[in-house]
Amino acid sequence: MSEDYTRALVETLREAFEREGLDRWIAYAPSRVPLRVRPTVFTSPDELDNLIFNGFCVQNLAGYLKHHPEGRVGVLVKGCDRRAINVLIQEKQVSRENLFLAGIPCPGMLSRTRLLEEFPGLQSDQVEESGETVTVRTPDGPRTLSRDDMLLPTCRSCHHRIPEDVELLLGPPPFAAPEAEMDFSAEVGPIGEMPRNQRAALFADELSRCILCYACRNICPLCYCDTCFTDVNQPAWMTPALEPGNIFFYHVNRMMHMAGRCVACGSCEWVCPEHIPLRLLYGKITADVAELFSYEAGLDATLPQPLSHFSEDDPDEHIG
Amino acid sequence: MTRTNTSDSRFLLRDDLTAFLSALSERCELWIPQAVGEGVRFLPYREEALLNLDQTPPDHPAKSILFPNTETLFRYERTEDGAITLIPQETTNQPLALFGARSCDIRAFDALDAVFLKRSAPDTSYRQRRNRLVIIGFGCLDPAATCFCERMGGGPFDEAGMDIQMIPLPEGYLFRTLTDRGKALIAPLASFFKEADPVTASQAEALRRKGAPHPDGAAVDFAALKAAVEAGREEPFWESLAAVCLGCGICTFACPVCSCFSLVDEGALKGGRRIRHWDACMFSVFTREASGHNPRGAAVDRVKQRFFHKFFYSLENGEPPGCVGCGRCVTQCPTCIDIREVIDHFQPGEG
Ligand code: SF4
Ligand code: SF4
Ligand code: SF4
Ligand code: SF4
Repeated sequence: MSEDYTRALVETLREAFEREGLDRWIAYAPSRVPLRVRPTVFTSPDELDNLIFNGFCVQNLAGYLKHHPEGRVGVLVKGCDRRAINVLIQEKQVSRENLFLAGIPCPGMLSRTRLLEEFPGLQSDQVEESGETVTVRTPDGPRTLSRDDMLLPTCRSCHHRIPEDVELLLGPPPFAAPEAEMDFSAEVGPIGEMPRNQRAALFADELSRCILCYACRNICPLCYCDTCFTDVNQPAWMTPALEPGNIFFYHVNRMMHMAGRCVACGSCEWVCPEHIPLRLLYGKITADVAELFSYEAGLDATLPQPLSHFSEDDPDEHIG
Repeated sequence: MTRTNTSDSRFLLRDDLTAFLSALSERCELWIPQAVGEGVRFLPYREEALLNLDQTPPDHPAKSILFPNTETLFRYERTEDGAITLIPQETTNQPLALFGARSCDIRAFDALDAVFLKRSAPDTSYRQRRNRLVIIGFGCLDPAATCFCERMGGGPFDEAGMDIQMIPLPEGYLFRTLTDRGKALIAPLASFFKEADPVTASQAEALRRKGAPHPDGAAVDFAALKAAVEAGREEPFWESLAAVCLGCGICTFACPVCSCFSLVDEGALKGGRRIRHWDACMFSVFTREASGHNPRGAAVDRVKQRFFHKFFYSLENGEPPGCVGCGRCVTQCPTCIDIREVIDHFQPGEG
């Protein structure tokens, strides 16, 4: 069933690639690495034979638009990729007319970590996704799990799986988790309510594992600065010493830079080799923006952004 | 390093391992693989640390025992009259014991030695740790699907560089003492061990000879690979990798061989320090010059550099190849840039 789905998907996208005369297409291809797919920039319609879509296509592809700005680009977008593109449009980093977006109603991505915990040494070809289940072939026979239980944390509270304003809305994949019931603000709520020292301890504990590899920054579709504050040395805002002060400084700054911009795609959390729950740690800011400005990032590219927009009737409550 | 003449094997029961490590920690600076968060890293022994010998290989390399992610090379103080005093790094003669490292990580020390000891001026900070190092290596019963040490000239039970090799068996561990240094380390702890009975010894020997079944392709011919990589310098293949590489530090930080670092002076009027920290050829700022010019300004230059260093420059300089096949960069690269595919691309038909 999923092979038929992939074949149909490839043909639809190939047809669009040719018809629209695109220069490239950004999507995913299989890889030999367990439970990972390879983000891929396809440069001709023929190469699309190698395209796949499954529950491991977590990485937000919008980030690649900054690396491949020339020409007309097709992108396979889930809900969160699409929302990140809206933020890039608001911030004038991409032009909508250069993009051809094929939207895929997102089935909810799978947690590689959970699966590997449950099945050490698991390989991609042992995993079969269908309907609301994930079946894993083990040496002791198949085991069927509920997709919902294996979802990536970020997808458990995502209410925007269907990408909007796309050139081509694809049919839903033959596998999907039921609609999310959790709410992101509710998820991060307890962190906000913690006593200050307890919250500080949580941050210190989780961030103590950070190795400053900057994968979280580099994968983030919205961290596109040519020179990040981490790399400025005149003045040096921080030093590269792997010490708690620098680690905190890095994350607190990135966190503030994401206010009203983060689309909670979870790519940073997913990419972190130290499994630091970044989306949660950063989430309070997103929840605050939602509460203070009734604003959720990436839903509408025509709206002004709460923190980069001056409005004369701003109550300025924080002043004086 | 002096090899012992007689093969000296003793047996440690699984249940005695904790007490053994605790006793060993009193005699040396001991580092063990510990579960930290969801990963495993080599860190100094603590009573409450969670020893983990199951992750093959541990997702953090053992290189940090010799080449820490961040270290202070020296401090300085400046008095009111302007005199500057240098305060060197503290040193000790205490043995530095690395427990439970896999053969890939230990073979990688050859490559680190080549960089830090064998070039024009030996690195004093590295050298003082290297001289103190005693290695209790650990055989891999269960190589990961992404391990390819055999192709790179090693193997799950390769004992090169170890002072003692531990072989995991059902009831405990066989300790094969390979050098005088290893012998001296555990001699005072003789009471923890029993003589290996012939059955245990032959079980261990069988494991060691056979290695674990691991049919991941033929051994790499490094000279041929070097030539092929050089001839393929301009191939579009590199562009396909660079198109998606994030330029993060995951692959190089996870690599037991990668040794790029930067030096930074952190100073104030009254004093300061010079630190050395891991850097990465994959970071775009790694080669940015003060003028703003960047000789490796494009992602493709950086991706090439990583593999050229491993398979071309190292060999050109008469140093060991830059990869021991631990597979960490393979499993950890978020974009599936797979060094095995690089090897197979340039040595077709052998993968
Ligand atoms: S900060 Fe993290 S969750 Fe937010 S947009 Fe960036 S990668 Fe996605
Ligand atoms: S990805 Fe993880 S380890 Fe790397 S810098 Fe970000 S938080 Fe730190
Ligand atoms: S190869 Fe992979 S791990 Fe290395 S810098 Fe590129 S994306 Fe990061
Ligand atoms: S290059 Fe990759 S596989 Fe080779 S030693 Fe380094 S981390 Fe291991």
